[in-house]
Amino acid sequence: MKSKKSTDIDLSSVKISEELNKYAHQNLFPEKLAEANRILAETPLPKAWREKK
Amino acid sequence: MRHEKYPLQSDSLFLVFEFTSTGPKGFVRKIILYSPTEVRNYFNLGFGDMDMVTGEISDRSITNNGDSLQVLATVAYTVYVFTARYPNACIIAKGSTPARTRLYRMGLANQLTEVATDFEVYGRRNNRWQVFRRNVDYSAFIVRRKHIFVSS
Repeated sequence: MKSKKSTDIDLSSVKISEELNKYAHQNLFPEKLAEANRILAETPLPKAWREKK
Repeated sequence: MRHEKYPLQSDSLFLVFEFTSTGPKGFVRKIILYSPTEVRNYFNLGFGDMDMVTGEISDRSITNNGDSLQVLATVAYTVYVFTARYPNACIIAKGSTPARTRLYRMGLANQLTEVATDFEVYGRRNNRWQVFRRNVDYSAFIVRRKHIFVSS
Protein backbone atom coordinates (compact mmCIF):
# COMPACT_ATOMS: atom_id res chain seq x y z
CA MET A 1 0.00 0.00 0.00
CA LYS A 2 1.27 3.44 -0.79
CA SER A 3 -0.13 6.89 -0.55
CA LYS A 4 -1.12 8.41 -3.84
CA LYS A 5 -1.99 12.04 -4.31
CA SER A 6 -3.54 13.47 -7.40
CA THR A 7 -1.17 16.44 -7.33
CA ASP A 8 2.38 15.41 -6.76
CA ILE A 9 4.72 18.23 -5.86
CA ASP A 10 8.39 17.90 -6.55
CA LEU A 11 9.90 19.70 -3.56
CA SER A 12 13.26 19.91 -5.32
CA SER A 13 11.63 22.22 -7.86
CA VAL A 14 11.16 24.89 -5.17
CA LYS A 15 14.16 27.20 -4.97
CA ILE A 16 15.59 27.37 -1.46
CA SER A 17 16.58 30.80 -0.15
CA GLU A 18 18.92 30.77 2.84
CA GLU A 19 17.72 34.29 3.64
CA LEU A 20 14.28 32.93 4.48
CA ASN A 21 15.61 30.51 7.11
CA LYS A 22 15.77 33.34 9.65
CA TYR A 23 11.99 33.74 9.49
CA ALA A 24 11.14 30.07 9.96
CA HIS A 25 10.70 30.24 13.72
CA GLN A 26 9.70 33.87 14.08
CA ASN A 27 6.20 34.94 14.95
CA LEU A 28 5.78 37.30 12.01
CA PHE A 29 2.01 37.51 12.31
CA PRO A 30 1.34 37.43 16.07
CA GLU A 31 -2.24 38.69 15.84
CA LYS A 32 -3.16 36.09 13.24
CA LEU A 33 -1.54 33.30 15.22
CA ALA A 34 -3.31 34.37 18.42
CA GLU A 35 -6.59 34.51 16.51
CA ALA A 36 -5.98 31.04 15.05
CA ASN A 37 -5.30 29.66 18.53
CA ARG A 38 -8.46 31.29 19.84
CA ILE A 39 -10.56 29.88 17.00
CA LEU A 40 -9.12 26.41 17.43
CA ALA A 41 -9.77 26.53 21.16
CA GLU A 42 -13.35 27.77 20.76
CA THR A 43 -14.47 25.72 17.77
CA PRO A 44 -14.76 21.96 18.10
CA LEU A 45 -12.71 20.32 15.36
CA PRO A 46 -14.53 18.28 12.72
CA LYS A 47 -15.29 14.89 14.21
CA ALA A 48 -13.30 13.07 11.57
CA TRP A 49 -10.25 15.15 12.35
CA ARG A 50 -10.15 14.66 16.08
CA GLU A 51 -7.16 12.64 17.12
CA LYS A 52 -7.78 9.44 18.94
CA LYS A 53 -6.54 9.63 22.52
CA MET B 1 -4.56 25.74 -9.95
CA ARG B 2 -5.60 27.16 -13.28
CA HIS B 3 -4.21 30.63 -12.70
CA GLU B 4 -0.62 31.52 -13.39
CA LYS B 5 1.60 31.52 -10.32
CA TYR B 6 4.59 33.60 -9.34
CA PRO B 7 7.98 31.88 -8.98
CA LEU B 8 8.40 30.84 -5.39
CA GLN B 9 11.29 30.58 -2.95
CA SER B 10 11.26 28.75 0.36
CA ASP B 11 13.36 28.30 3.46
CA SER B 12 14.96 24.90 3.86
CA LEU B 13 12.13 23.64 6.13
CA PHE B 14 9.33 24.70 3.75
CA LEU B 15 7.74 26.85 6.46
CA VAL B 16 8.44 30.23 4.86
CA PHE B 17 7.73 31.16 1.26
CA GLU B 18 8.44 34.29 -0.70
CA PHE B 19 7.44 35.63 -4.07
CA THR B 20 7.36 39.02 -5.75
CA SER B 21 4.12 40.56 -6.96
CA THR B 22 4.61 42.63 -10.09
CA GLY B 23 2.17 45.23 -11.36
CA PRO B 24 1.33 48.91 -11.66
CA LYS B 25 2.46 49.54 -8.07
CA GLY B 26 5.86 48.00 -8.81
CA PHE B 27 7.52 45.03 -7.14
CA VAL B 28 6.13 43.87 -3.80
CA ARG B 29 7.72 41.06 -1.81
CA LYS B 30 5.14 38.71 -0.35
CA ILE B 31 5.88 36.46 2.61
CA ILE B 32 3.93 33.39 3.65
CA LEU B 33 4.65 31.72 6.97
CA TYR B 34 3.22 28.48 8.32
CA SER B 35 3.40 28.75 12.12
CA PRO B 36 2.60 25.91 14.50
CA THR B 37 -0.44 26.62 16.66
CA GLU B 38 -1.16 25.32 20.15
CA VAL B 39 -2.96 22.34 18.60
CA ARG B 40 -0.66 19.62 17.38
CA ASN B 41 -0.39 19.38 13.59
CA TYR B 42 -2.34 22.61 13.08
CA PHE B 43 -0.49 25.46 11.39
CA ASN B 44 -1.56 29.03 10.87
CA LEU B 45 -1.17 30.43 7.38
CA GLY B 46 0.24 33.94 7.74
CA PHE B 47 0.59 36.12 4.68
CA GLY B 48 1.85 39.66 4.25
CA ASP B 49 3.98 42.18 2.41
CA MET B 50 7.60 42.92 3.17
CA ASP B 51 8.62 46.56 2.99
CA MET B 52 11.47 46.63 0.49
CA VAL B 53 13.25 49.40 2.43
CA THR B 54 12.70 48.61 6.11
CA GLY B 55 12.23 44.84 5.81
CA GLU B 56 9.15 45.07 8.01
CA ILE B 57 6.43 42.53 7.31
CA SER B 58 2.76 43.44 7.59
CA ASP B 59 -0.44 41.58 6.84
CA ARG B 60 -2.38 44.84 6.78
CA SER B 61 -0.86 46.38 3.65
CA ILE B 62 -3.03 46.93 0.60
CA THR B 63 -1.00 46.32 -2.53
CA ASN B 64 -3.55 46.94 -5.31
CA ASN B 65 -1.16 45.52 -7.86
CA GLY B 66 -3.94 44.15 -10.04
CA ASP B 67 -2.81 40.57 -9.63
CA SER B 68 -4.95 39.22 -6.81
CA LEU B 69 -5.81 36.01 -8.69
CA GLN B 70 -2.15 35.29 -9.39
CA VAL B 71 -1.26 36.09 -5.78
CA LEU B 72 -4.03 33.81 -4.53
CA ALA B 73 -2.93 31.01 -6.87
CA THR B 74 0.62 31.35 -5.58
CA VAL B 75 -0.51 31.23 -1.95
CA ALA B 76 -2.63 28.19 -2.79
CA TYR B 77 0.40 26.54 -4.37
CA THR B 78 2.33 26.95 -1.10
CA VAL B 79 -0.42 24.91 0.56
CA TYR B 80 0.36 22.11 -1.88
CA VAL B 81 4.10 22.43 -1.26
CA PHE B 82 3.76 22.70 2.52
CA THR B 83 1.49 19.69 2.77
CA ALA B 84 3.72 17.70 0.42
CA ARG B 85 6.47 18.19 3.00
CA TYR B 86 4.13 17.85 6.01
CA PRO B 87 1.32 15.56 4.82
CA ASN B 88 -0.36 15.32 8.23
CA ALA B 89 -0.54 19.07 8.73
CA CYS B 90 -3.85 20.86 9.00
CA ILE B 91 -3.83 24.50 7.96
CA ILE B 92 -6.00 27.23 9.42
CA ALA B 93 -6.44 30.36 7.34
CA LYS B 94 -8.27 33.59 7.98
CA GLY B 95 -7.91 36.93 6.26
CA SER B 96 -6.57 39.87 8.24
CA THR B 97 -9.80 41.68 7.35
CA PRO B 98 -13.31 40.43 6.51
CA ALA B 99 -12.69 41.49 2.88
CA ARG B 100 -9.61 39.29 2.70
CA THR B 101 -11.42 36.38 4.28
CA ARG B 102 -14.04 36.79 1.53
CA LEU B 103 -11.24 36.79 -1.04
CA TYR B 104 -9.95 33.49 0.37
CA ARG B 105 -13.49 32.12 0.21
CA MET B 106 -13.91 33.16 -3.42
CA GLY B 107 -10.52 31.70 -4.30
CA LEU B 108 -11.44 28.40 -2.68
CA ALA B 109 -14.88 28.41 -4.32
CA ASN B 110 -13.43 29.13 -7.76
CA GLN B 111 -11.09 26.19 -7.52
CA LEU B 112 -13.18 23.97 -5.31
CA THR B 113 -13.39 21.09 -7.77
CA GLU B 114 -9.63 20.86 -8.04
CA VAL B 115 -8.94 21.65 -4.39
CA ALA B 116 -11.47 19.07 -3.21
CA THR B 117 -9.62 16.39 -5.16
CA ASP B 118 -6.63 16.81 -2.92
CA PHE B 119 -7.91 18.43 0.26
CA GLU B 120 -10.65 18.29 2.81
CA VAL B 121 -11.87 21.85 3.32
CA TYR B 122 -13.98 23.17 6.18
CA GLY B 123 -15.30 26.66 6.81
CA ARG B 124 -16.10 28.15 10.20
CA ARG B 125 -19.64 29.40 10.60
CA ASN B 126 -21.70 29.92 13.75
CA ASN B 127 -18.79 28.62 15.81
CA ARG B 128 -18.77 25.29 13.99
CA TRP B 129 -16.64 23.79 11.24
CA GLN B 130 -18.76 22.87 8.24
CA VAL B 131 -17.78 21.17 5.02
CA PHE B 132 -16.92 24.03 2.68
CA ARG B 133 -19.62 24.96 0.18
CA ARG B 134 -19.78 27.67 -2.42
CA ASN B 135 -21.77 30.85 -1.69
CA VAL B 136 -21.63 30.46 2.08
CA ASP B 137 -19.87 33.02 4.28
CA TYR B 138 -17.23 31.69 6.62
CA SER B 139 -15.03 33.43 9.17
CA ALA B 140 -12.06 31.05 8.78
CA PHE B 141 -11.01 27.89 6.97
CA ILE B 142 -9.16 24.70 7.74
CA VAL B 143 -7.73 22.35 5.15
CA ARG B 144 -5.81 19.13 5.17
CA ARG B 145 -4.59 16.70 2.56
CA LYS B 146 -6.73 13.78 1.67
CA HIS B 147 -4.89 10.55 2.09
CA ILE B 148 -5.89 8.16 -0.63
CA PHE B 149 -4.52 4.68 -0.30
CA VAL B 150 -4.32 2.43 -3.35
CA SER B 151 -2.74 -0.96 -3.85
CA SER B 152 0.71 -0.71 -5.35
